[in-house]
Order: sequence, then structure tokens, then C-alpha cells
Amino acid sequence: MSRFAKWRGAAALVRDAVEHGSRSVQRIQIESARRPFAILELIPGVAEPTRVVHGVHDASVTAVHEIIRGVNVVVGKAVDFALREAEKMKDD
Amino acid sequence: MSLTEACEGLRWGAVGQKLEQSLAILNGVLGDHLARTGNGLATALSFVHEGAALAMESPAFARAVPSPRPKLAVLVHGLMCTERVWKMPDGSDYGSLLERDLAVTPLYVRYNSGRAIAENGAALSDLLEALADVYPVAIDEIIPIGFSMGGLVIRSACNAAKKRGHTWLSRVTRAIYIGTPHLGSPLERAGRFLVRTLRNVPDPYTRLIADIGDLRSLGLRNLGDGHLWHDDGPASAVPLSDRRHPVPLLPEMSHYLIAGALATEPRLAFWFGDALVPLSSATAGACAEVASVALPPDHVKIFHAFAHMRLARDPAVYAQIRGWCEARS
Repeated sequence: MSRFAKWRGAAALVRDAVEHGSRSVQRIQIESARRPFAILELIPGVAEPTRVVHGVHDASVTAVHEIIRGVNVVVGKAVDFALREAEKMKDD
Repeated sequence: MSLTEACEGLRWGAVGQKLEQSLAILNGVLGDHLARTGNGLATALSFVHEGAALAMESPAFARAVPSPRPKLAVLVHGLMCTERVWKMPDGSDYGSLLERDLAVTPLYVRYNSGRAIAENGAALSDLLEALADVYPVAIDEIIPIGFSMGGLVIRSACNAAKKRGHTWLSRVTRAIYIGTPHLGSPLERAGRFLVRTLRNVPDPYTRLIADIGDLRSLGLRNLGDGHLWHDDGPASAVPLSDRRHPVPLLPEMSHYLIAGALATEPRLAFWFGDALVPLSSATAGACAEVASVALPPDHVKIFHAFAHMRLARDPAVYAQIRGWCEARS
């Protein structure tokens, strides 16, 4: 296995770690918020606005992590492309 | 400076041994994921010479083995290790000493210890089958020597060879297992229990810790119960010598087992063994119930006051291996 393949492997591993980490953190943030929101949603008068805030919270957390994962994919592909080009240049 | 020069500037080779060791640990922990995703950091199972994989071509072997002998020792390292695990402080190892004393050519195997033991066993069997075509002289005998998980990989390879009708198996008359957890590793089983317990706690942070614990590789999980074959069920109560065992100790060859015991007090030694592998597991139950293994008593050697890693590189262990290699099988 060439050293470039190892570099690409290291980059892919970082990409996998960010992807996996982001999904885990997203799940934790949503699950952690669920409990206080659930309590507030039982209180008359506050319940309805809480439900709205809860929905906005979950959507924004999801959006932030989707962006993180999207950027991760783009950066990962760019690094992979750069390493492949570098390998080609070296071979030439 | 171009990117190529920058990459060269990091001098991959010079980082050398520490990097290889780091990769071995990474492979041990996540090796199945690396192999499954085609990651370049995954170690392919191969013979290694001076730290590099040996191409399975006659010229490469002729260069790497300038004085080939008909008798071979194939050394297989353990979990999260490389072939450097065999190195003694003076630079020698069991392979080089066997070459010096008994004219046995050593071949060192490196593999991704995070893959399932069955996959590594099958790959090792294929590698040994291909060896006859590239080895410079006719092979009379192959002596597999496995340390820790390496012993399980050897057993799996022997059984794979038997199932596939590989011819190399007929050249194996003895196999030596050093600190090999034949009956599994209680440490892995304890880890598995801990992860299962954490997963049952209704808390997202605890479940995250369980998720991280569950990232551990198939190789590590296999080690818990000593799973060696794809259809190998949970820890079997069937003795290893019994033909009903999914991966038995093959009766066609002699089996020699080395175990370490840190404690001198018999009960502590039995339970804690060499700190990683209990005596009962390393001796395949021999020290608990000799009849269940049907190994002659002189095929099992327990080294007292020995920790696990010391078993891979100690002159006293070598003396025992040499004695077994000299003996008529």
C-alpha cells in the first residue's frame, strides 16, 4: 500500500469520525432537550409555545449537524482528490 | 514546495516503527471497519521482511530469504501488534534463534488483527498455500508459532486449510501457541457486559459511551469467546480435542501450548494467568482438566512470574520452543 493510500486512508478515517461523531452529538442534543421540553409541554399555557420552540430547536440542531456533515463530505472529497493528483504527479 | 514534496517531506519511512505500531493498534481497534471501507490504513495479511510486505513472487523471496531451508517457522503476532512483538532487547527473536540453532527459516506474518479471526485464518491459509510456488526450495515442514490472537489465527487457518483441501497443512506436524486464549478472553467478555449495561441506562451520554465501546473491532469481539470460524457458535462447552468442536485442535498434528502466570499462588495464577489470558484459556483447559484436552503433559508449559507480552520475547520461552521444535513429532 502506497504512502498516498495511507494518507487517503487517514483522511477517510477523519471523515468517518466527524460523520459518526456528528450523528452521535446530534442525537444527544435532541434527546437531552427532550426531557425539559416534555415537562414544559405539560404546563397549561406554556405547552403550545414550548412545542413550537421544541420543534425549532430540533430542526436547528439537525440543520447544524447536516451542514457539518455536508462540509465534511466536500472537504473529504477535496482532500482525496488532491492526494490522488499528488500521487499522479509523483508517478509522472 | 509542491504537495508531493510536502508529503515526501514528512518522511513516512523515517517515522517508522512508532507509526507501524500506531497502525497496528488502529487496526486492532477498528480494523474490520478499515477493511470494509477499503481504507488505505488497513493492513493486508502478508509475510513481512524488514518492515515491508513481501511480494509473493519468487525473486522477492529469493532476495528476502538468501539461505532458504526446507523447514520453516511461520510466526504470527497477536492483537494490535506487528512482528516487532517478537524482538528481544538484543535484536534477536524466536525466528532468528531457530534459524541459528536448528536451521529453520523464519517467516513473519503481519495482519489486520481487527478483522474477524476466521477471515484472517482463511487469508493465512491462502498465503501458506501460495508459498510453495514462490519459496526457493521445496518445503519439508512448516511450524506455525502464534502469539496470543496469532495462535487462534493459526488454528483457524489450519481448519480453513482442512476444509479447502490446501496442501500446506500436510507439512505441518506441530503448532506452537504462546499465551493464546483458546477458551476466550474474560477481559473482552467483561467489556461486552459493561457496554451492554451502559446501553440499558436511559441516558443519552451513557449510551454514547456504549456506542464508543461498540466500535471495537470484530477481531476483538471474537477474542472474547475464542470464535474462530464463521459458523462458530457461542463459547462452546465441547472440549477442543473433541471432533464436535467447531474448530478443534486438529489431530493430524502435535499441539504445544505455552502459558504465563503472574502470580505464584495457584488459585490467583489460575484466574488471572498472565494478566490478560487466564491459565485455563491459555492451556485450553489443560490445567483445570487435563483429560478434556488430551494433550500430553509435556506439551503444555506454564511460565510463572511471566506477564503476557514477556511470553513473546524471553530466552526461557525460546528454550522451550526450541526443545519442542527439536523433538520428533
